Amino acid sequence: MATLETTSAETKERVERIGEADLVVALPSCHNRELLEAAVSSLRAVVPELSSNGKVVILYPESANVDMPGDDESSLLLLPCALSPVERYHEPSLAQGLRSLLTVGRALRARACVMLGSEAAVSIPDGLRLLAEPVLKHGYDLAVPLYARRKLDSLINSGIAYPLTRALYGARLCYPMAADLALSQRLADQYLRPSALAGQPQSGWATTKAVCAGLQVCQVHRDFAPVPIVSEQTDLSSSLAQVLSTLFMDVEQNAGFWQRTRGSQPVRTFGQPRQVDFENPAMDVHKMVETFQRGCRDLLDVWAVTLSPATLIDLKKAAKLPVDRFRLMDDLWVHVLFDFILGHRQRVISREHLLRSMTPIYLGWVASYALEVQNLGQGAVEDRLEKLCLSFETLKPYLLSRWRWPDRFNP
Amino acid sequence: MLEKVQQALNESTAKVITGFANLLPGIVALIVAVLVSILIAMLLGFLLRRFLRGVDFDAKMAGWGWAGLSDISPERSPTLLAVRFVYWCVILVGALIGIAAFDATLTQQMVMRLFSYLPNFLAAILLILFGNVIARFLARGVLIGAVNMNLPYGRLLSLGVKWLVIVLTAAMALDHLGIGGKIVDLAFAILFGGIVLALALAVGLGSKDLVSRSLQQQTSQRKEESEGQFHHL
Repeated sequence: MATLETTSAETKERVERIGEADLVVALPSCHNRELLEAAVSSLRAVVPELSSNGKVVILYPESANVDMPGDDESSLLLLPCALSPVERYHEPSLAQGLRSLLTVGRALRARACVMLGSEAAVSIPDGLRLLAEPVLKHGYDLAVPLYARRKLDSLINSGIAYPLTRALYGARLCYPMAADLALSQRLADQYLRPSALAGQPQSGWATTKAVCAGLQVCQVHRDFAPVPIVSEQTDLSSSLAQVLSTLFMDVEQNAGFWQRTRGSQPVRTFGQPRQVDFENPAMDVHKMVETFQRGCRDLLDVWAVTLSPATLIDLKKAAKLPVDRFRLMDDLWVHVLFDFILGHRQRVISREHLLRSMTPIYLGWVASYALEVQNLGQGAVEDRLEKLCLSFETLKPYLLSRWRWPDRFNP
Repeated sequence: MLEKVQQALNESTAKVITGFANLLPGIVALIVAVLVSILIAMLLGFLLRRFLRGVDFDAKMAGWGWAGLSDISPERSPTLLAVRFVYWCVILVGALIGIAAFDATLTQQMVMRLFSYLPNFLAAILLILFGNVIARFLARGVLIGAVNMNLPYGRLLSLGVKWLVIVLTAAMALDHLGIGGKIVDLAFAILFGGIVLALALAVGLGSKDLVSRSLQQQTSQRKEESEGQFHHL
């Protein structure tokens, strides 16, 4: 039986009494009695569909301080565990919850472990059923949601995370940083394996780990992406730095894998696309362009330590364009991202400063993208994002070359 | 009369020549010591440079969080900075050995005082060095933060922070060297207090429109996000 360092003695004892389970589900967002009771009552209808003769264990945060004793022989069991709310795209908070979930899942020899990190109570049963089915019934090792979204939603994902992970790891998983995911026992073993750093748990997204380990991954159509759980004080610059830091660390850790990968392959997608109102309200990009232009005036010295001279010149040219004709070309955006990956790896300046200094360029890309897609329909916007992804794939040799020979002259 | 003048001249010439003859070995020793120390410094510099390049010292320093050190290094290389530091230290020691060879009480006293002063001098150099690195680090952080907040005077703010830290470390270094005495303390207190007061007045009076505009911009940015125009996350 796997060790349970992350859970309390009482929980360990209960896990030993339960013995085995078919499915373990973590609900970090159910941090009080009302939320938990609502989730559990709605889950009772779903459990028989997923597990006809086994047990289903629900993990809820210890901090909820709810005493819900249950019969160890019943099919739906509740267990307090070291879980805390998962912030959107915040890998450390997701990793902490995943470690607790997978440790309990492995101890109970569960066939699937499901993390519903960002699902609201009302959508938990639907989310659980859709995500667990591919793992339990079709033998997949990882299932992640493919959220329906409006034109200008999840821009960090659309502009950075998805195209970058797709180009590097070769799997077209649209939400590689989703906090809702179902994992098989094989992936749990992979995730809980100690890292190269003795005594340190592994870090990084479960999606990239699954792809790098050659496991079977899939995605499931879901409704709107949930509202981000971030504190009001968290500004865009901090969120962006957090996302970039985790992505870039992943790139460093998996350098051996992505250097061998060429092109990208679609992954199986379950379900039907959800219909949503695709249009965002009227937008104003003036402030974003203004921040980009200010960055080009004041931050050139900072960018010059990582960006190539040609990229700097192109940025300066873009800063001179009037707002209505403002564009940041895909190739330029990809070069900027790749150069920042290299700067992050070489630690040319403090990593925190480097990542935060990218905010004005990101806002420039958002403004350019928003202007381009403002009059486009859903299909055309998808085509536009596909074009961006292809630019990432086409320019990957540039990253590869500079990764291997960083000192080579680069105009 | 003329004989006496001639005798006085002869005696003084003999004295000067004797004095010079007495000093000559010391001067030769000084020149030899400096030349030998230059040779040793060049050799040590060469070996140190090869060693530091071999262990990729520049990248390691950046990895340990001392990336700012390259800003003040010749050719942006901390390796060259370390090599030049060792080079000049060896030459300084050589010069001191040469001066000590004069065998004069005054020179000896001077050397002794110089040696006892050396720790203070090194501490002052380190203070200046660290102060410079910290000043640049903070200035860059302020500049990036100000640009991300779309503040119009980011460069000015960053420059202000940089010079505040540099003035502070310079005052500390001078205090350590014992130069200026109370004048440095007094001047620093006046200067630092003046800068803080000026900033407070600027924010309180002159820049109240600017501050309110910046706060308004931030609020409207959050409002845009919450109203659903853009969702970055």
